[in-house]
Amino acid sequence: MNLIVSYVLPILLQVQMTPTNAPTSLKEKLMEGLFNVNINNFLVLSALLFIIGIAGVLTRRNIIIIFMSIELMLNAVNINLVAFSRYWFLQTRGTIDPYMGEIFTIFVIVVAAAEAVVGLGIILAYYRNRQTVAVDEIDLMKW
Amino acid sequence: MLNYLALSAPKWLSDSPILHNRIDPDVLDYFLWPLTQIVVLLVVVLTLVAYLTLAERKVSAWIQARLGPNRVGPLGLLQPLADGLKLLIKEDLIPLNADKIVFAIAPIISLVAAFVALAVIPWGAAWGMISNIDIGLLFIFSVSSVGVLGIILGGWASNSKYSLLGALRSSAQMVSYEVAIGLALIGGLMFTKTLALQDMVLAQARLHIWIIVFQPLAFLIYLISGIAETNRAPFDLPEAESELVAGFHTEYSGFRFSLFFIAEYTNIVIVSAVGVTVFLGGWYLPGLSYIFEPGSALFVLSSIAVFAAKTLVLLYVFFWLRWSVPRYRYDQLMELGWKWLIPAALANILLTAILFVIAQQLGLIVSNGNFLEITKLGYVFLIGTAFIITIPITWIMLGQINQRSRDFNLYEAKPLPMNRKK
Amino acid sequence: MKLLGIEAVLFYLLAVAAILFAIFMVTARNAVHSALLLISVLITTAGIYLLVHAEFIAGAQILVYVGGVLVLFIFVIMLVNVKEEDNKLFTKQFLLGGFTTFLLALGMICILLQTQKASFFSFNSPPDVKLEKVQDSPNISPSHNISQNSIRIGQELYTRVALPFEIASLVLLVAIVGAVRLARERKQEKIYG
Repeated sequence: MNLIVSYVLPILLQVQMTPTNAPTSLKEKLMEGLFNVNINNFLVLSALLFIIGIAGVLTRRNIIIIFMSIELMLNAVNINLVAFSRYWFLQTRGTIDPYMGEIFTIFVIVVAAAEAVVGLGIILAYYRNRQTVAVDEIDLMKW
Repeated sequence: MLNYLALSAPKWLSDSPILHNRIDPDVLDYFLWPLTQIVVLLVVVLTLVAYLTLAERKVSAWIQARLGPNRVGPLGLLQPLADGLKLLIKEDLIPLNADKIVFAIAPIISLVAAFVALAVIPWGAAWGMISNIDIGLLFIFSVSSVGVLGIILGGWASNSKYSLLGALRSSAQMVSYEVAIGLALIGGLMFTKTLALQDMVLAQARLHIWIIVFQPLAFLIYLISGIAETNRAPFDLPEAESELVAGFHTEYSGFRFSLFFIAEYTNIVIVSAVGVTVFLGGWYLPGLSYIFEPGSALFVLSSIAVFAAKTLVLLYVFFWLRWSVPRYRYDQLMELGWKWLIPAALANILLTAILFVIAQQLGLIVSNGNFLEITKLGYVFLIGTAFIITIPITWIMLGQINQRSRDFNLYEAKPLPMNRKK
Repeated sequence: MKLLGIEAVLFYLLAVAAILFAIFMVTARNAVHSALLLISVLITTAGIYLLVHAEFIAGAQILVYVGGVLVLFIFVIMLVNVKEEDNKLFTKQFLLGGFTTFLLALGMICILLQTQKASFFSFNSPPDVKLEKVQDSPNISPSHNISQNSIRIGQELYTRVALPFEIASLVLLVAIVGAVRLARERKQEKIYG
């Protein structure tokens, strides 16, 4: 158990273990930060979500689910942007553009909404003509 | 995150002889006190919701010269209890071929979305609210927009044509009118300069005025869209009995149905409470701070009473309109939303902004940090222009525009001006 | 940037939930379930935004994505997906797609390991400054102790990035018009020409 806590968990969770003077009681451990989340954890989360999104886009057959996977990928990118925004805000004490990351996130959300609207319009138009939403069967350039 | 979600416990509680030096003040501030507030709030709101159903039946009976429920208990006061018991012991039906998981989740989504929004509403001054977050109004909007999902998923999962039609109608209506609500509130936000709901009340207290006198048009738009947003008559298309049996909850019975029912009434309470907070001054009543010392327990209790009174007045308006106006047709509903309310809200924002800038140039309004300071002439200017300029201009403009659009809809055979050139 | 104690626990809970929901979303059989799971991912992400004090983004995320875009998705799924998908969830190029994903994942892991090795990210920054508690102030004045996130973002949006903001609104307008044009039926086109 001790082995897991001290060696395996830190690698899995990317925890920086506090050195020798480690806190003893459970409350102290929680408060002093056994789980010590830093920017790397955000990067890992974002990367995992992005990869899952890519998997969805590359393998699914239903075009609507492909669209949703794209939304998931955009969302993963947003996590990075927001995390870095906060990171630089604290790192530089707010001297360089502390809110640019969050503002860029707003633009990503706006563009994602626009993209979803147009994409769904195309899907509806296509479905009306061909009665299918499977990307396998969308193989004609013109009909 | 936790350290600014919670307001600290009131002084009279933490200094009281029972608790003093016995409980860690952090535990009291961050855990025990908010928990107490939440429990009290939930109990009060659930009771209120139960008695709102009774009040609605009593009001409708009074309007129709009937007696209303009067069998259970004195004056029928125990009727909600009987109704609740009846719903609880009914059989819980799940239709054949229904999507069981979604069918079970949908009412819970509705209910949770409705209850979460209660957390940020300023029910009273100081410790009278649970949390004063920076994005208060945005939070309420986003949470109530999640509530739409409960309805649409419930309708879809029931695997019934009436449910699906009701759900489609309902979500289209709610999504449309959400836009109008948001745009209407922006007019009020210009004067309060914050999204945090408690700060909005305090801004109105500083100005010694209710925002409604600056923004009468916005309040009207908010009220109408609020009724539509909660699917109440005269906009109760989603559950129009004569067409759709009961709309999205046709297939729901027993406890699940009562969850939808509670969520609907809680939404009505939220819409009224937000309207009171933004337009009617929240718990602020001119002269209240002269009677009680601000910050004292009596002041907070009386502020809660003021807020409750204002909310109940708006709730009565909801019941009153239900029996006074006939139900709209669906195309009329959409036309009212998209062609009247949303453009009117946009025009209101534009005109208010122009008048605001003019007043600023004239020195009638001074922006002082996060607050406004308005001179006496400024009050006269803003109130006067709101009634004399904003409302007539918006009315005339929309009347002109929609006159043409009505032709466009009703007489499709008649060629439009742009087609005549061909 | 460090999250400690309860915030770290919340982060791990939200992150694990988000990843699980995302996996279920990509593999869901039913498109409506998929949409519901995507909504869960988005809400957990909003929770993570709250943890890094980006309240406005969290609110906007739920308002725009969950209240707007995903409702639209569910609408289209209801209009389009009448019959159950015929047992074929994945395309014929499933293996190719899976392999490409695997390669991309490998590349990303390598990059992450690199960044972690670099001292660039691993130095210890002091924990976030704790905001003071909001006292129940007796005088009638707004509390300044709450976060100022939305005020700052508003100021930036209307001053420094005003032009991109306007362009974004133009993009939305074009999208609205385009969507109406695309989704309109032939019948309606004949009537209104």
